[in-house]
Amino acid sequence: MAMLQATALDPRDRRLLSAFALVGFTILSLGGVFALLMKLVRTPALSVLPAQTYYQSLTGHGVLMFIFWLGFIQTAFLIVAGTVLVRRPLWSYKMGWAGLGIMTLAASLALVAVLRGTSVTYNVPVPLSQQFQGTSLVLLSYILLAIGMGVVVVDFILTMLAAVENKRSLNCWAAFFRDLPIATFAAIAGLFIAVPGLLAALNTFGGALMWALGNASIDAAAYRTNWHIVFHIYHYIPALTLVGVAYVLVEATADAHSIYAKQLAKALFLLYPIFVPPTFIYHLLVDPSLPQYVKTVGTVLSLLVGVPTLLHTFIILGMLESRMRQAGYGRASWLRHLPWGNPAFSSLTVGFLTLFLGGTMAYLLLQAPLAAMLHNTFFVPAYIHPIAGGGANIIYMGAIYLSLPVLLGRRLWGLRLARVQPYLMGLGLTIMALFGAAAGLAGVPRRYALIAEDAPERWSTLLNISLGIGALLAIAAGVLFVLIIVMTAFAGERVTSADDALADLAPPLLPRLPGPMPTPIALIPSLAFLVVVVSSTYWAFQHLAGLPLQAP
Amino acid sequence: MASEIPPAQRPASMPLLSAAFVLAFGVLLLVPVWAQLGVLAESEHGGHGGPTADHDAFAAQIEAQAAAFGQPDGSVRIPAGETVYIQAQQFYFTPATIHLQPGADYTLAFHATDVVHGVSLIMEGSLNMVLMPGATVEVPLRATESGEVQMLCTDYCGLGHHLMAGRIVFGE
Repeated sequence: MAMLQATALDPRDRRLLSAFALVGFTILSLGGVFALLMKLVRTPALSVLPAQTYYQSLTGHGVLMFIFWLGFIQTAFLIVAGTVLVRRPLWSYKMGWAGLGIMTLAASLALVAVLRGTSVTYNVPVPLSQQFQGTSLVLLSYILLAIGMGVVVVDFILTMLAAVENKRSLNCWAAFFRDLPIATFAAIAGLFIAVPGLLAALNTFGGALMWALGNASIDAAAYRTNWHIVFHIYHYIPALTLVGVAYVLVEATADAHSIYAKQLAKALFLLYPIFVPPTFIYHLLVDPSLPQYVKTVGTVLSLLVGVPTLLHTFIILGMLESRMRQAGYGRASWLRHLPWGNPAFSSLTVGFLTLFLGGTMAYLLLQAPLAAMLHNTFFVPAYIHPIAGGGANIIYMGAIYLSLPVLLGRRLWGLRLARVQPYLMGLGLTIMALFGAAAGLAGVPRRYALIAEDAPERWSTLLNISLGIGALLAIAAGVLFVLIIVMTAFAGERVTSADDALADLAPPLLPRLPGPMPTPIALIPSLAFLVVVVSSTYWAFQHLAGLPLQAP
Repeated sequence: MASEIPPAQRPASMPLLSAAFVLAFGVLLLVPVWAQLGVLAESEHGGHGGPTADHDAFAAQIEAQAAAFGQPDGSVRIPAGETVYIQAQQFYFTPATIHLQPGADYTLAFHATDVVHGVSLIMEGSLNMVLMPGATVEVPLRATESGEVQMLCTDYCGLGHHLMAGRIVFGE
């Protein structure tokens, strides 16, 4: 907690980040409304709205939640990493505001397009999207989002460069990187993925916009490949960001410090730009135009995509274990004494648990021999929601619980509700994922408004549980989160210092006994992940071999 | 900023750190698992590109198939070993109902005429393919038992996407 208590928030940061928060939470809330509307079509027991509403809401939910909400919150984190965490001002606040303004315009255009019935889903498929009037608005919104985020990225880079006293001195550069907080280094490492991603987005959607306006031709297969490259990069930025945020949360909520040299954690972030880009092929494993050897190589490379996160999990859990053992707790009993009632801490742990769940499912999807069984089935949303809606989103919520009181100068409103909210969200997403996976294995397709009356009965049962219980619980938890945030802004007790703002979220005061404390428990998540992935792989292939339809 | 525990006080971390690296990279064990299961040398997943065919040429194949194997109810009944031609367009498959023999090997040739479609052949589980417009995708198929296969479009193809369905009946 020392890092935040020692931080005096620059009023300029406060204003800019508050504006990001306002727009971001609006987008989050609208994305949640679209999620609810989807459930009121797709859940068999709750299907009261017409099919068209599903496709429109699917588009709205995907565009606003995945593209814009994540874009806004991660850009805000980038600003925090470059200012608050390193106690420096932004290189240019005008650029920061310009970036926010462009991104807000982009979100507005996308929302207008969705409300006008541009039901193209977030990937704006070619040539289908030509049949919808607002397609060019959606594509323009993506281009503007990339530009707006790019402006803030440039501002961040200039901010970092300004922190290096003598840019011609290698020693100064070494000292700069050495002294950076882990989260800020993570942000810099993320730029090696984000910048190519933004450029790829401008290229892909620029070309598609020209086609949508009737000024150019387009190849559907090439667009699909380019989309998957952009999409792949875009959904690994949360993978890296959530880990960077986790390092902040584990220190702020549990007073846990790095037990390995910080340089190790920093170096592991550099594995993301190495391992992530070549693995986009796993999105194209049933594409008939790709040669089989490309799919095989792509699958093997894709196995490495989770390695950096597993190693960071080991370090972060080790930080907790070491701190609690230093406080005098036993080898396993320390787990009970963690601050489970602190919503920022529980968001961290629930986020990692849902990430683990989604990650094990992802490792089935990225195996080429299994792809034909799982592609475009409900297994896909079943895995992505615990990863993106769970892992990334819940951990981001933890950071928001911690930072918003400081930002607003108010104590968190509804602490009792906030204590429950992460667990409710984790439970909902877990139910959605497990029963959704079963639905996908049974053949239930994704992006499908209504299942036919003669569909197998278990399809309805599985969807009713996955969506009617799991997804609705997660939506309720999302509503709770927005309620807590809004009420904090209007009714949270005003305070004058960061200490007072974070009094409810401070880590427990624990002794720190001298001497090293080994961290064997920290190995368990990686071991469990490996066991689950290998055993579920064996099961999946047995299941595939037992299907009555075979491709000889 | 996060402080570090001095090196002298750090936990005996190198063996644990090494174990963490081994476990993290242990996912590469899936490669020998695939080899042991014999799945690395599988035939193409999701089918493979078939001979290039323009829409008219494929439509002619569909008509010839209907002429040779058509039934009074509009379905087709295709003998073992034949190629089964299926056209996908918003929002139906042609033919919509296909009768095949269980235990026999077939090649299904799909062709999308307008937008990207997906095909899911569902019988207790599913086999899934992607159809790019204008390209033909050939998929080898055998049903090990009698029964009915739902044939659904699974790549969003427009507001009637959920209406796009056909069936393949293995058996009498």
